[in-house]
Amino acid sequence: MPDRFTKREFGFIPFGRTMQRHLGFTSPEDLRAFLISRVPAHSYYSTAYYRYPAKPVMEEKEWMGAELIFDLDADHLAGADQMTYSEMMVQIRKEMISLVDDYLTSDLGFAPEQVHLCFSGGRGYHAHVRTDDIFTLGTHERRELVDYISGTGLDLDWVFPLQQDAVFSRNLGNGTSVATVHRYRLIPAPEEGGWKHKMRRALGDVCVLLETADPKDIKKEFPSVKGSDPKVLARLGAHLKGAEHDMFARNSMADLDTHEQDLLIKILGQDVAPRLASEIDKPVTPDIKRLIRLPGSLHGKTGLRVTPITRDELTHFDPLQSAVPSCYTDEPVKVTMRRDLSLDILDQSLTLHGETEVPEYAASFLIGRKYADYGWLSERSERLF
Amino acid sequence: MDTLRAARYPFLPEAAAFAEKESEGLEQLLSSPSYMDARKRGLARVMGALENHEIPDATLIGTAQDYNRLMEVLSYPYARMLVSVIDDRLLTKKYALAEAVRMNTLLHQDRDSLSTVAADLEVKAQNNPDGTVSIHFADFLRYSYILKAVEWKLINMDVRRGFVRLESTKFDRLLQNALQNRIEDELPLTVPDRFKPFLQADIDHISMVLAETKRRLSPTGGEAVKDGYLPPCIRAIIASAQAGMNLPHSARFALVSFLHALGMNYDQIIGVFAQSPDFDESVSAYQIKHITGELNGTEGYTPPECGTMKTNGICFNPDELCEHIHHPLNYYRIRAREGKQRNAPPAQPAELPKD
Ligand code: SF4
Repeated sequence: MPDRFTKREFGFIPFGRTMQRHLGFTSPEDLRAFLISRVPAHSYYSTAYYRYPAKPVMEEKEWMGAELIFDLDADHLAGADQMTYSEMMVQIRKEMISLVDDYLTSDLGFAPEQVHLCFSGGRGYHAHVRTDDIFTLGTHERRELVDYISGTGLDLDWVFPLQQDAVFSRNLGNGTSVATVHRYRLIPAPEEGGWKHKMRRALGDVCVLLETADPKDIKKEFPSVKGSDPKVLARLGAHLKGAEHDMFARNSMADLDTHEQDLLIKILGQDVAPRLASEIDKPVTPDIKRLIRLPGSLHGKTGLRVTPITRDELTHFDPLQSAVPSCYTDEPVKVTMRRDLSLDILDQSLTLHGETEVPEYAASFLIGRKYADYGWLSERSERLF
Repeated sequence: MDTLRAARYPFLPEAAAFAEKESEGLEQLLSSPSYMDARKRGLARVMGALENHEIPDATLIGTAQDYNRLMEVLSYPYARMLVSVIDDRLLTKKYALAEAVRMNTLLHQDRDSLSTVAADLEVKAQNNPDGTVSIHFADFLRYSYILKAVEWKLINMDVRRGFVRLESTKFDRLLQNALQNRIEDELPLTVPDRFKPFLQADIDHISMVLAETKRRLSPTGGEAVKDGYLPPCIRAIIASAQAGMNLPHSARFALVSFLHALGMNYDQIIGVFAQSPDFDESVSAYQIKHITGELNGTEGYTPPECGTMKTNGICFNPDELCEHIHHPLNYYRIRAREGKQRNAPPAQPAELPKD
């Protein structure tokens, strides 16, 4: 249940009808009673706290603050349309783990008990951060956080600053002197934080790959250098083998020539940084007046439960094992598959095609996700609606 | 009690405690000859803010330092009352900024007070042994987002376990914003009517200078908007609006924010749209009030510069003056100046000022 309960707005979509919102409840019991009597298809609550959550006009609610929300949804994954539901959920789980471990509880310093995780009931996860420090952050400030987490606006000249040393200067005797300038990039020191820290670590990984892989594989891993001469890449790898240790000890790329440094920066900026970033749904976080799915409620389209989970549970979380609500029975239900599918749900391993019968809990998921239609096509005349 | 600190940072609770202990209340501050110096200094705070963007310095150490410090502390509530009674957005902003800048300047030579001041401004921060300061990222975001520059983006910051590590000068800049925000939020105070007669002379003085400042700042020089000075883009947009064409959002935004910046009020702006054949006030009203800030009591949006206008494809018919300017408002300023020079009796050669 959300904290500061009486300051939240609630909204519901009853089966087959439109959203009913601007509702307030005085206690969790009231809400429970409402849910039992109405059984809505979708239930939402406001991430914001309002003085008057039930006022029908946004301006009159008087915004007091909002929890900080991050939303990861498989829709945003590259190649999501070619994946099965389970494959998508494994991918997005990986993203969620990285969001929590690499950003929320590390860089941003939130304590694990301030970060409330939730399977969204659909194809993703939500993180709700609740601490006094962040409640009053406005839209702009939250957008900055999104930029931080999604790697937007990273300045590589800040991460790897250009250093210029005058190597020697020669006096021409007529009052002019000529200096040879040695320009090279610095590497962030090990104790430095934020994206400097991430990029120093990433540079180490890049070096290992360049030293060991052959140019063809390097190009596959780092498309930004696809056009580079394989010989140049091989030479860089060989060079790094000798120079890497000193590079990281002195926090500088001074031993590499300019072209080699440029190649590294290109790989780090174009290939590596986007992978370190998290694929959060960008418009969600800055929206400080948003309704979000109520943890514990049912997702009307999948029949799965919006399930609160701990960070430890997230590691192996499988919605088809852990988010199937107990209200469904295992009574057989007739369905017609739209395509062949194997599905591991609860402790059943189902291989499905054509007209078949599945337990009720599997049927609600298959129909909701449009993998199957209710009933058997061949008995269509029996359909009641 | 550290009376020097109280006098330097009169917004601290210890300043209020000092004032309460050593003085005889607000009535006396406003009327008694014993507090004349505090009132003078209070007026100087506001006038300095208005005219020179700074609070003039004061002597707080040396002869009569106890007296001077008390007057300094008391001048602060006096200045705030003046600003509150006038209750003008520009004045309040300028005043808050000047007080904040003064704090920043003083803190530069007074690092010992840093943590006290930061704590009072509810900024979570701590000093590091290497001279940098760590500030909680939420406070960093709160006070840095108005400093729109790459170098202030959180992603380009040394973030460790929830804290952003900053050079001390950068940290001071954020504290400055924090105090400015706070003062802007606190003002206007409610000043009882019976106090106002005592403030009147100073208020008249400030109001006069304020009016003059506003006239100088305004692109129209305080005069009515003249169609002939409008830049070609705005003229074209007005023409389309009056011909009843549906304006794209960017054009509507540019037009309203531009006219607002020229000092036109809601009625005048809606008047421009009202000539359109299918005019519907209820639709335009909300948008106009949103852009001018009337809806939420802000200053509204500033009109887009020429670059943005070009990107949005609404830089219509630029003329030769357009080549020298970067902002449509400057077009108006320059044309207005030219116009005045033409009318002024001893005609001066019109020289094109650089933008
Ligand atoms: S250059 Fe600027 S002022 Fe001139 S028409 Fe374009 S946008 Fe308007």
